[in-house]
Amino acid sequence: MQRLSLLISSLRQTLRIMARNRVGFAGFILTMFVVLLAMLGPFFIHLDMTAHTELIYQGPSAAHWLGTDNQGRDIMMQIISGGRSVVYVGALAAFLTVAVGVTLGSLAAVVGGWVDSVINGVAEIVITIPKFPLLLVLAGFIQLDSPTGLALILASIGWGSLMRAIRAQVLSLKERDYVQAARALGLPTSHLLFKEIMPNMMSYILVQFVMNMTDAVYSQVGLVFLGIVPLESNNWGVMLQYAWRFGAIFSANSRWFLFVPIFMIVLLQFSLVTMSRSLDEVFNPRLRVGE
Amino acid sequence: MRRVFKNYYLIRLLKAFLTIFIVTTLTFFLIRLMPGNPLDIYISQQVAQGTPYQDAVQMANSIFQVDLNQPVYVQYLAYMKNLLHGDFGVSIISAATPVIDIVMRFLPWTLFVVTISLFVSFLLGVLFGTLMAYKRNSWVDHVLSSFASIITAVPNYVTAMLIVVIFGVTLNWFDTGSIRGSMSPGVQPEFSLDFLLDALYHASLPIITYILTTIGTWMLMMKSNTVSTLGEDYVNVARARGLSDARITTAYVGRNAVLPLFTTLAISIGFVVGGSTLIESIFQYAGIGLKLSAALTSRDYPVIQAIFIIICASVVLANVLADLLYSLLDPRIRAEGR
Amino acid sequence: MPEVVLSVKDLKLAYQSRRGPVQALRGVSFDLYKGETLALIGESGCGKSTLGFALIRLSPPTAKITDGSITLIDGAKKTNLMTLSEKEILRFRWSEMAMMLQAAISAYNPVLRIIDHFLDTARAHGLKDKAEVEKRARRLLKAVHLDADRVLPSYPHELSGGMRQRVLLALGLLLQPKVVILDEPTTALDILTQRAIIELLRELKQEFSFSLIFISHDLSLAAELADRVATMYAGQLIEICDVYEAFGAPRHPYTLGLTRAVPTLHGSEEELTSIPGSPPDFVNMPTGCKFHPRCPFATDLCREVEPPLTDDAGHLTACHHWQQVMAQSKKGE
Repeated sequence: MQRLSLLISSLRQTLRIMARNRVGFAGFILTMFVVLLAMLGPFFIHLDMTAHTELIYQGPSAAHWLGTDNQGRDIMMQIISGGRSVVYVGALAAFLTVAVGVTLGSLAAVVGGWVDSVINGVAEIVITIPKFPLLLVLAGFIQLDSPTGLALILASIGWGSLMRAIRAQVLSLKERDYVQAARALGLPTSHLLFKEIMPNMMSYILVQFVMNMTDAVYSQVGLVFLGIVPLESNNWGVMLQYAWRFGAIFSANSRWFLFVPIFMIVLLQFSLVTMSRSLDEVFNPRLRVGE
Repeated sequence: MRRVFKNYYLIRLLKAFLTIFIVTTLTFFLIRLMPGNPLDIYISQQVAQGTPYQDAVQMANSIFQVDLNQPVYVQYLAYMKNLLHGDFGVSIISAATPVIDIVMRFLPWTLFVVTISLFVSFLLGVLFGTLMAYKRNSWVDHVLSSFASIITAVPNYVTAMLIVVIFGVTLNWFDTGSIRGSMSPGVQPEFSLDFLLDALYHASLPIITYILTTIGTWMLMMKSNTVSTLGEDYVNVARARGLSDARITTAYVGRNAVLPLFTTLAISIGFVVGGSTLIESIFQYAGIGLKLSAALTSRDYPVIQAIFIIICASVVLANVLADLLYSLLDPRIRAEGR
Repeated sequence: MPEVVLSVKDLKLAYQSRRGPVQALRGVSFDLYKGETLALIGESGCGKSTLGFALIRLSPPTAKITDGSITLIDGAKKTNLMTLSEKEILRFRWSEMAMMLQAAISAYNPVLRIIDHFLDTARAHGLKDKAEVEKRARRLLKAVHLDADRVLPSYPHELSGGMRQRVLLALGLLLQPKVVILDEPTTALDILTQRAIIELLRELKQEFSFSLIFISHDLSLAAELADRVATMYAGQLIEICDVYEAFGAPRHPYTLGLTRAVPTLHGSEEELTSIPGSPPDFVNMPTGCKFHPRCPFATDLCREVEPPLTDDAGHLTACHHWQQVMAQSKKGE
């Protein structure tokens, strides 16, 4: 229970610091907006996915605020309901990646020895292999039809650099005075890890979570766009794929089908990146542009 | 001292080969041993259609170029032996075409685009970054920094799509029909200027996309490195020695500021090659990225496997080259040996 | 009358700080004689490094020299450095007047060899003959007691701190400057290396005959090496005199305080005094004499009128009550 309250207090502190940086805070608010829209939107609207051939590729109108797609379906409804899996997979993949990276990194640093060497070796391989082709191949050989499965695959590939960074941090913190003192007092390793070392790395972990979520969104939209992963058709990535494949680029009205999902995806990524950059700036004083 | 020098490169090369070895083993594992692997699926499909099990196995053997009757480690050794001879088997879809031929037809195009893009992007990024550092806090700096920040946040496929839609369809700066593919129809590959120009015309959009997606990082990194290098003592001493601004900017500031960028070069190579599937799909550019996408859709496993191994091998080797370049430029690394 | 090689008159420098304009140099004047060693002494923040940089016009871009002249005298030729263009100044630096910053450790470009540093410097001043440069470099390295074969092809990180200090001295003498300015040449060195560098400086001065200004807060260094001592306080020179007089009979209360604050090995017990208070804030300077808040000799006159630098038989002092101070310091002997 104490650990939880410690985590919460450091989170609260982070938010407070972030509020000082206006650009980053804007990014944070924007991210929250997109996430909430994506997750809660579907509850509030009724999605009609039946084709209306007479309404194909219409521009924005009173009835359809953002126009219609290649099968006459309303775009705005699709957008509101289509973000859920994108955000879910992104967040879950990021969470798992961070969890794996932190666990393995701490383990390698604390235990050392051959465990360290093995983990390092595996990480080196995972980092060197280009992520997207590996994803493509894995998607080709393993049946990927659930968002959770997709998140798991994404997490299994992306933990490498995070693990290394955590390991380096834990190693350096291990030698610090207050940790040595705690050890001299005979406190167990888990106490050291959670009470002394973790709170210091919270900020870094948060930044990494946000960056990983950006990567996960990128990867999954890429996979979906290429048609490798079959997901439900109102998913933003799928909308992109249909728009591209079915010639939405060629007329001004139909382009809405392409631009609206692009806008949402870019908005999500952009706000995530802005948020993480300002988080970075706050915790890495060298980046600050003058006081 | 020489011994230490050689040692460092040897270790890097060994690591590279080890990685490639593991990648090939991993692919073997994926094809043969994972539950739900293509071989099993093929056989069970055949059996479901009424083919006797042994016959189905025979068919799988010939198509996938394996011998399922042998124990796994023998299969593995045979697989590795074939790879070393450059034998990747035969394509399932394009009847009896050696995979290696298919790969060799598409690989040069991707390498062409990737190499040019990385080179130009790096060069321009370094130049702009230096400019931004020297003129920091001026409007030039603000404009370029904002540009760099925004462009790194946009995913590469979005950039690619926007280029096609805005400049191709809307503004009609180029003809979206003719610029597809890697060559114009009817053109034969040869060592002539015409062919080169034609190839560049078709490659221009992918190149521009790659450059736009990577240049931002270089610009920002170079700017911050240059700013901190400008504050170093030896720059002041160089001025006190009466050295010209030109000499200081190139040999004292530039050469030192650019060094850390080489470690990012390795990551960039992986990223650009990795993204080639998406970019080539959008522009319909006939490189191995596009071929991989096609092979995945048609489940042409030998081709998928081969392209994946080639992609990994190229990235690993490119990393080694980038490392080499870095150590040649920074004498402190050479001494460390590691 | 000894020949003057460098004449600085009423040099004023100001820069913009966050809290307002700062007059870092408030009218510095002195003459440097041929072949002498002048020690520029003062606390940190008094402006001595600023003066050093200003002499070769290498002040940071935010700083501006607002008044005064810096004149190099070579026989009949007099050159006011303030009138030179940017390009001409580049020629002057290192070849006529060489300033070596402190921290010789980081004075080198990490990716260039030592020989390249010599070649770069030579080339910047029109000397392109590689063989000639290498010959000179070897001679200089020998003079600083280093093995040229070992040092020239090395990279800076391959040399120790002491070696780098010596190489910097060699590099500094490459173009046979008339004036050498050293900023804290022995700080950050261990005591043995310090001693070696001091000896080396003596030898080099004899062999290559240049005039030396060295900037330091270390009085013992001044006692060893200097012919004359100039004391700086709050952006101004407040005393310039012969080294023996500086230690034996100083005429400014500040110099008196500095010299009496250093413990000596003399047999008799001496009272150690430290100067009360702290250096003035350059943005809010005291009126009149800038030292008066800390001065035991201060009177109303000191609070109102800033004393000019007055010359009494070659001993310059900026104090209204210098005779009093002199009497006091002689008493303490």
